[in-house]
Amino acid sequence: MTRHATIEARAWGIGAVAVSLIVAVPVAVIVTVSASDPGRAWDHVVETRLSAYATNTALLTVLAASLAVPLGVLPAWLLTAYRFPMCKALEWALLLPLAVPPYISAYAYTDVLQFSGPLQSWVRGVFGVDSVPWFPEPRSIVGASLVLACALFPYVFVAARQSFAAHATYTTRVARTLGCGPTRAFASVALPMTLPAILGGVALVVMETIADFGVAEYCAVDTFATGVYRSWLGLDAPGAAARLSLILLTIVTALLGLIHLVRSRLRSEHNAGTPHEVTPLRGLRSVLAIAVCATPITLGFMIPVATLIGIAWGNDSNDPTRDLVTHAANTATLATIAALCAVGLAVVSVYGRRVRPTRTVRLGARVAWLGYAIPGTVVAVGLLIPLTHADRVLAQLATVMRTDDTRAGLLLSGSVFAIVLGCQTRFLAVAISSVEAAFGRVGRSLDDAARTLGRGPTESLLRLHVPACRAGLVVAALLVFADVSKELPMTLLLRPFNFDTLAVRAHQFAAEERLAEASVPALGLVALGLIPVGILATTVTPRGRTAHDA
Amino acid sequence: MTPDHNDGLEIESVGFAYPRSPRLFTIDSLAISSGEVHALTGPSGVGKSTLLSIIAGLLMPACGTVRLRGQTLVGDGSWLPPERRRIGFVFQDCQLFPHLSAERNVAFGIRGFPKRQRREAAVRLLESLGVAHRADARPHELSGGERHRVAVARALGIQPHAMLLDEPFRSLDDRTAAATRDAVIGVLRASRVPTLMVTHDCREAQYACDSCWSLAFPVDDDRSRGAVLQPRTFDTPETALTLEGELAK
Repeated sequence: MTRHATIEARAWGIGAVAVSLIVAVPVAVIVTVSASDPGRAWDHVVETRLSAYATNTALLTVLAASLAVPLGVLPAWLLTAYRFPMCKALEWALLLPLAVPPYISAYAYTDVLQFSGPLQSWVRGVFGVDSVPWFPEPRSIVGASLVLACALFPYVFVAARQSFAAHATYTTRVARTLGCGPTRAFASVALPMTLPAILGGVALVVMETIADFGVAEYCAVDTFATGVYRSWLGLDAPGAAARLSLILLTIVTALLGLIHLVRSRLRSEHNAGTPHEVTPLRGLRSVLAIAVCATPITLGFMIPVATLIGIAWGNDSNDPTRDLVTHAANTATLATIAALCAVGLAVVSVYGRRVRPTRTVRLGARVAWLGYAIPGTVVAVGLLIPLTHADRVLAQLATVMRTDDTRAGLLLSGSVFAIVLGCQTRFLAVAISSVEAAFGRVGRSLDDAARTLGRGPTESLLRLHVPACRAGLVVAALLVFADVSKELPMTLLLRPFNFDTLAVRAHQFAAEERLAEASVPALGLVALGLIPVGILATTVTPRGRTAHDA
Repeated sequence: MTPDHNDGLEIESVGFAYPRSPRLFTIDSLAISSGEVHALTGPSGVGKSTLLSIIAGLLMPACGTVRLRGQTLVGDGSWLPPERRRIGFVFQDCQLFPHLSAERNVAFGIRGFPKRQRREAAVRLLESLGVAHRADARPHELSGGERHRVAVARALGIQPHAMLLDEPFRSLDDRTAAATRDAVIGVLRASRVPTLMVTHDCREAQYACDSCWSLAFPVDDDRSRGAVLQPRTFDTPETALTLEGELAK
């Protein structure tokens, strides 16, 4: 032990461990319930559905991640190393798909590609045939993978873009002076150097895919996430749902461990290059570069949004904007509260680990990371059981303390508290990731400097880290805001009575094949998601502007 | 005048080892009185910066005692956290807070006054080191010499009872280093703060300091105690530079 901890530093460490309990408690509940007798429903699941859940989940994850990598990496490299018309606009636009929840894309693509959809009808008309068997089936594993990849590739894009800008272009120029052509320099220097960052982005895609409920449900692909939901609600078998959840958690933990291992093996010391010069592209090359960058935007944003606008425009049934403001206000309120809480908790977790990096605190941080990989349905199940129990205790206390007949009601499980807590469990990792990256830019020596200037850990946080990391904290809040706005299955299960969000309304209409009604809340959701994406675009790509302006 | 060590910094039997590593160094005794500036030299990796971190409270020694003005900072079962030691520390590469101006960097450590007075005190410190005209500049806008002066001003802002300088002028060219060093040492002597300065520059040690110490492995190759501290003299031909010669340069 070379450093000595003050009481204040120990308190931060305890705070960090306490934060991780927000994730640990639902997991512990799942494990405990799994250990109990699951009943005959579990036998039924094992005999009839388990292998399909495993195969489909694996296929969906591999396909979505494989498709997301080229969609994210190629534009990132082109925008870092070259200058071509509209490159600044494309850089911003590549974040737009983050505003479209994957299940909203699934609604749109199903409408476009289905038998009665405009595209297939047009193809049949052109070729004069009654059916087109080779036409891609949207309600399949491939269709679901494509939808997920188009919606989630920005995670890979952002990670690769920042890493290319920070490290790879300068060293690529060195490689060029040593005789490498542009392609070989990219493949042998830029790509290997950026691989750890790309894997970080892929890890997010993998976790999102495994936890996805909306796309899999709508595309009729049986995965572990849909299995948990059906076991809980359809079979009324919490034991079976808990066991499926446990299997899912084990797979996710193993995958994340593997990705972490590979990243740590690949990681090397990089020297951040000086602001680099970009190579201008002209003629056919610039057209190709624009096409490569525009394709993911078209697939992930333009087609889904244009389709939804078309559906909403052609809708002449009931007033589709009815209750839209209420649902948008509910969504914004929930997302704002959850985002502010998540950033506060993330600061406690990250800073606690910084000032008190003991084994327990580090383990707690890893547990907090796991929350992002837990499907919303699993989080809901893991929280409803203890919250319902706590509500019973509170009701008994209220009965003892009060003389009238007023009932306490479901203070925790039936209020916004439950869903805000669920959002912390699920999205704390998103906030932690951003806060960690921001705090990482404040060198440890600055902590030491602050302490020699008379500032303890808490004062250092308030006067040094928070002001220096304001942008990172805003990014963390915006990312959580966007994620909470889009969240579906957990909101479905945990929302208070008569508290519908845009996501819930869109899902309810789409599930009833009322896409016209679903399109308006879906577009409202996209509009809400555009706000943080717009601010995010100006925050995460300042180096790009500098580089291009150079 | 006999130096009164109770006013200064005292180190006794301090040893240090990183986890799962052999002993890095052992300091039998080192005393720096009020107003004295001592130099600490030695090869790279021997533990000079580590010793400064121990004195500042950023690292824990394996054994030994550090006292300042008679108060035990570490040893005898007690440990005072760095923020309560009032030891100014000028780090290698300065470590100025990048999001704050020079003035606000200096004001960071000044406490117990209203904001306006803190800022005025910061400007006075910057004036004493000749960089008041750069008060509004951010660290990346300052030259190397200016950054070092601001770092010293910031460390002085806490009204330190002792000062530690870790190769403070290493990255400067000779002319700038000499000018900055003169300004800094002048201010430190005027404030009568006991100062320990790590340096690789023997001329600097001889010219600017009252005593010079060498932290190095003993010649008998007994490494069980790690490196040890020995007084260094400037009577060898390669290090003997007269004050006149230094000034003439």
